[in-house]
Amino acid sequence: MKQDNKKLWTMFLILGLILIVSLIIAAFLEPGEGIINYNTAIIPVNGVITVGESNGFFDDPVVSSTEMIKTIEKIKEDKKVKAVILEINSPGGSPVATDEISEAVKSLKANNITTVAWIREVGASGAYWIASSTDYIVAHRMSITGSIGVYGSYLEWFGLMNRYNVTYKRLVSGEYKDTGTPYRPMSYQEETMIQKKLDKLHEYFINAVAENRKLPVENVKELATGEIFLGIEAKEYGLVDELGSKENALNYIELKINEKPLAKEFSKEKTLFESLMGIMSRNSFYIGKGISSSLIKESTLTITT
Amino acid sequence: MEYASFWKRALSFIIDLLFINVIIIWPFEASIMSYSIEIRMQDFPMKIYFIVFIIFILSMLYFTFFEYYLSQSPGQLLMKIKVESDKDIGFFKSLLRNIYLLPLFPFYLLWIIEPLYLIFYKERLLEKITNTRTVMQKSELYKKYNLRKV
Repeated sequence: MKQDNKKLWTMFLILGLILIVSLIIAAFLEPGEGIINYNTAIIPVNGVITVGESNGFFDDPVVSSTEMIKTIEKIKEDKKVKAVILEINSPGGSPVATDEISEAVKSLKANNITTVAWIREVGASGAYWIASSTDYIVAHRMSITGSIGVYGSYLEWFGLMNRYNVTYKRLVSGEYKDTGTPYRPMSYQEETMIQKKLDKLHEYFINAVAENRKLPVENVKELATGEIFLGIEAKEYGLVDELGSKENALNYIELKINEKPLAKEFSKEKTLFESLMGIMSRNSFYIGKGISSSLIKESTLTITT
Repeated sequence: MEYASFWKRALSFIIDLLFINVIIIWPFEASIMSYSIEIRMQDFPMKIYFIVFIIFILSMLYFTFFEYYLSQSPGQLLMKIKVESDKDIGFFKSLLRNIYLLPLFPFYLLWIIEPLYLIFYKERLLEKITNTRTVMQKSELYKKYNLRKV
């Protein structure tokens, strides 16, 4: 019994000692300057824009308007933040989510926060709509932007179904209730109706870009064919303000806020587990990438710049 | 002497990980979180790796100290298993037993080798090398075979 007690005390002593050592080392690891004295928030806009959320750790990244609005609200409450950079790498997505994010970005201006969009690889369609709602757009000269248009195309399977004698039993109350089902061909009336709605959304998009960029609606209409523009073309058409990188975005912010910008990334808060898993998955990705790239390099023709 | 079963060892390891989470990882939580926020901003990954390195070293020392001083870690105590050796378990032997926690190559490989070796030979490779064993506590053996202390 006495020995058991002694054992327990020794155990607590060792646990206590290790805890103290951990605390001492942790105290010496000060967070970076940008983390403490930040004045600029970086918000990643990475992936397809949606109102929902990413389902799991291994899913493709999405830009959730719900999460984005929460992040923007947090920034508005943070008195340290004087400028925001939207780091955009997105092909667009849901018009509703896009508009929600665009409105939230505009609300930052009302709080005297300078907003800059930094388009990296892709900032097209809805992502460009969001970018246009900032004060200044910086894009890489080879980035893909523009794509001012709306589409609702889908696959129709009825031909394939017919081939295998699978039929669609239509039971609806309300003529247009099953419009858009892939199991039957769309009627002329349905097509006209959907096209009208797409045109309406297109008009909203054009007006939003014209208003945000202070461009004549007619000019934007001419560009709004759904065509994608390289960063350099977008600059010519007035869709972006400057060609460059994050440095250019930071330089603009420095001019606007009259102090050296210190950036901190604001995104959905990660749990400790997610942070550690992030590091581990990054390692695994690079290990896998190393192995696969050595195989692919040898077996396929790859065109790269 | 009877080797501790794989499941008892696995459970004791999980319990120890919970202790490690509280006394080793938790103090670094703020640093990990703040650095991981800026992980994509180029200058910080090295610091994150440094923290992870420290966490692994401290975890290795956790097992080393417990096995050296008490022949069992808190997880092993709760699962009623312990480490033993023909001679006394010296500090070096304890350290070597847990060298798989050193986050450096080639010790990473032991993360795969050790569990596999354990499944096939009822002991870890590092236990074989250090001539140590993880066995059931005597009290458990008495219970298992319905024996009484005389």
